[in-house]
Amino acid sequence: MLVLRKLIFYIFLIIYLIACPLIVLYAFGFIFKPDAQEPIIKTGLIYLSTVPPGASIYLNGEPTKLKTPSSLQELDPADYAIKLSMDNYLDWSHDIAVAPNKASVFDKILLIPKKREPKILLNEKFENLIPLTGVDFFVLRKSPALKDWVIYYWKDDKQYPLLGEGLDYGNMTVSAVHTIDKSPGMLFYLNSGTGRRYLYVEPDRDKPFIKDITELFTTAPEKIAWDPSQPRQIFTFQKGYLNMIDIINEAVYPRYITDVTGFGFLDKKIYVLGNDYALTRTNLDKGSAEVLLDDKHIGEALFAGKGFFKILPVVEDIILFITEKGELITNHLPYRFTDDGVEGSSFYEKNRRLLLWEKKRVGIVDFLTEVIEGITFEKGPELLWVDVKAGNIEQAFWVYEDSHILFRDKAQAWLIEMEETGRPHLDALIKVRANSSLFYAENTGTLYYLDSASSKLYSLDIIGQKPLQEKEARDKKKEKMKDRLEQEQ
Amino acid sequence: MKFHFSRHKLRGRERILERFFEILPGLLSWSILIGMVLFSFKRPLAAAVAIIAFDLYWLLRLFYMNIFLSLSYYRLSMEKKTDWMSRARGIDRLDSYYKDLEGKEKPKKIKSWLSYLIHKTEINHLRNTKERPPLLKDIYQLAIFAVATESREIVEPGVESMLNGSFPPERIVVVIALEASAPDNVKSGIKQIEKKFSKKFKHFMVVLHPKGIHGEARVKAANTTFAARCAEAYFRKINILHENVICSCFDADTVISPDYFSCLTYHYLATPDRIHASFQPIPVFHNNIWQAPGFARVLDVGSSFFQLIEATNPEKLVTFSSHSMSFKALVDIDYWPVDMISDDSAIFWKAYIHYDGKYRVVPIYTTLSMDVTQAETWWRTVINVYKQKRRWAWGAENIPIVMRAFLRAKNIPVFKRIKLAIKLFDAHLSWTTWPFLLSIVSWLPLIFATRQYEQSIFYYSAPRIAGTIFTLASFGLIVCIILSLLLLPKRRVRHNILRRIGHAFEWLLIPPISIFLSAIPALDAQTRLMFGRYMEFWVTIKRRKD
Repeated sequence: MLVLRKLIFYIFLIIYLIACPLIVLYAFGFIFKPDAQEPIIKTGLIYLSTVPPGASIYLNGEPTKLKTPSSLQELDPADYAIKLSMDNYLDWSHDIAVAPNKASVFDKILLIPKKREPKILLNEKFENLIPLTGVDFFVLRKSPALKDWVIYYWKDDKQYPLLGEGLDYGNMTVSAVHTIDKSPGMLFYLNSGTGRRYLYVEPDRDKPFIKDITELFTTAPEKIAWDPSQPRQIFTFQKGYLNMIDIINEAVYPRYITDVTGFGFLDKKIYVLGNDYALTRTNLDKGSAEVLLDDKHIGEALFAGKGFFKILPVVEDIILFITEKGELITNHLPYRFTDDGVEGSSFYEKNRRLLLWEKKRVGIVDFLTEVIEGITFEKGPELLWVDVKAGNIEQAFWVYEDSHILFRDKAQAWLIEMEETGRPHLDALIKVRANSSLFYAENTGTLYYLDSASSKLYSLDIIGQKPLQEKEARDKKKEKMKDRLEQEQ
Repeated sequence: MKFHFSRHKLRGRERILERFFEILPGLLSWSILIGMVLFSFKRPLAAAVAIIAFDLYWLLRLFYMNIFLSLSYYRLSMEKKTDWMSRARGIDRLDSYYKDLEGKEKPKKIKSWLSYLIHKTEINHLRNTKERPPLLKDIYQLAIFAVATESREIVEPGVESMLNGSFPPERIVVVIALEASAPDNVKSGIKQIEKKFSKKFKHFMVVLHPKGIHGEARVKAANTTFAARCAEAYFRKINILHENVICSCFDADTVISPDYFSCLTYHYLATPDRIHASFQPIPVFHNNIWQAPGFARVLDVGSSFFQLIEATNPEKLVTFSSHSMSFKALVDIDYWPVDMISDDSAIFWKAYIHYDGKYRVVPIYTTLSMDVTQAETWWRTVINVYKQKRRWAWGAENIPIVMRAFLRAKNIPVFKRIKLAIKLFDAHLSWTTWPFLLSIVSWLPLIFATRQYEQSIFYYSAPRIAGTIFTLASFGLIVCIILSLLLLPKRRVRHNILRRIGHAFEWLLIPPISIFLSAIPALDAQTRLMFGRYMEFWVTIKRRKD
């Protein structure tokens, strides 16, 4: 038995010493083809997943036995024509270049249904839809009169008048409305017979908060903003200083912060770019001041002579500075990303990706930290533009995490699928009423819009319920695993 | 080699070495686990490669163990019908017996033929040593049962089982090593057993082990050592040579198979240099196997499998649980360590060191049965099983003592010391780390993978390869399931087929069981040793449901 044991031990040892490196090499894409010119080939891989899953995969016109999500392995480096086909959905095709030892990843390909079924939600005509991000409602306008403004709660498909009954402001017309991302509060600029009025509204199903704060405005402000988590403290900017308006206490704090070139908010803190181009961050009550940038040379190089900066701290370590011309500067190399033209932005926090849009194109900046070996001079994230041949992009949204972008070019809504390689897939979605906005709810994957023909409120499912539920379950599982690991560490 | 086999009364360098080696197993286990987590976080790609390599190693080792598990089981089944007493009688007339074997008609059945072949080889080997073993008629068995809190219903079947074999009971000396602190009902139960069985054996002693003897810890070995000393006095009194006495140390619930003593006697006589050998049977846990919960059942069958595998490698075999040895050796080495919990393995190491490495374990292919741990409720059983496995893992307490001895044991070849040390560490480290590495750590690189990693082929092929490895490993699991079904007792039970099918499915619980009731208790034990929180002896609760 001892001899047998030793014999079997050495046989297994030899098997391991041979098999282990071969398996590892295979895992990296090296395969052994004795008949080929070069016996050891560095192969590549194509990974495909679709929403919904289960699409048949065709490679160079030939059906494979695989369905999505799946990976096509042991592919010689070359170009391949991939087609995905599924009943009731349009075929998806793409030419993919497979590189040696690399995976070409096409994750969450959104299959377009052959027939998209818009759903009518309200059988009334509206002039415009005012989207609010980060809250569970948007606003609909039937006419400029405030009494004809409606709040629509998209989670439960219910509408409520913006103002309750018996209020005097109903007949006043709205000349403008100011909203802030992730804040339920809205500031209406109203035209009354006696002049302009400022009405602050926080909609609610039962008891909206409405406050006429006209008296608190001593002059017409150049800019208005507030922290979404403290919406009843409004900051107005004029002539280089900030006034703070406390709505609850009906108090104004004039010249609350002076020598201001730009400002913004995040997590109950105010970011201020001073006239000396120093950047500070303080609590809203001006306590606990931190200097984020006090280097005059850098400050001048970046900010001098550009006018007012809208500061958007998207997360604690990424701050955007946008001028009125649309120049975008950030606190990450290469600092200046565009010289002009940026109309709007949207940040996807999970993968740290910034979506920008100009009139004719959309761009993406990937802030995810990567250490790239062999690079002596750090480049920082790059801005990648996608030429979508648009005329006037006014809105854009991340869809299905950051796999797709939905944008509105005048009265047409489009969906782009962001690909790692090759041209992006561009699909026309629907036509909307001219000069009206869209609202996209990522939680439900639903687009809300005013129909171009009828001006009625419609919804359109961009992503199915099942993929959303699976995504939610995956996210919860990942969060639990990460929490558990952090606890063990 | 004269060596103080204890962690007590150490000074200076020995004390430092002792603490160092007490810390080392736990430190290595935690380092491996935490290190792999951090490695997966910092270098997910490299960690994934390491995990693939480990998974492959584990797979091959599983197949390797399956081969020897199957061979060992085959050997066990081969010897089921062996007439050991007849073979033992043959040794009395060694040369002529060997001639008879050679001239005998070869058995036709393969099992019988193999058994005959092995037996003939053993006899020939014994002949060639020119050593003449004692005569069968001079051999005595000393059976020591350690009893602390076990009731009569637990102990009696074990005592009674010694009457069922072919080895004459009038040559068996039975010693019940009873703790003086045992409850009164236990003491009265033992008295009743003594009354019932005392006249059926050569001699029957109940030895009451007093509390508080200086130098003793509250451990089973202190009890059995006290009893063994009394037995030694008895053998001296009646002029029986220690060389002719085979000592078996049993747990209170041990029930021996009918051929245990005859098989043991044969191997004792057939083993050259028998004084320097322990004899390890295959422990099974059949006394209450169908009453215990499934997870406890699977764990203990796994322990039996482990011993079956170890039996195929006598060079590195260490004694476990109930086993036997020459009484002379036991006396020479001054009995079991009276301050150690893991007396079953410690006695081997003590003998090994005492005899300068000239000591080994001889596997004997017979079984003895014990109880599966169970309690009144399912949850209580989980706790009891956890504590029992932790106590088994406390065998790591041998490591510092053995390592200190190895550093001084110049008479043991270096290569041998290194081999045994590696085996000792490997056994305890794999116990604590493998279940975690296989079940949890192997998925971490995928979770921590950065975007850069997600672009590599490895990110997609690694899970496929791991999946293939685990699929192949399931064949190993099937072998375990089949052998566990074959190993189960043949007693008639209600819904026999259904129970067996259910038991087959219980093996699917292996991943969580191996973590919560094997790896974690072992890690618990090593961590306590690391921090010097030495364990009190915890008596495994034994109870039998009707």
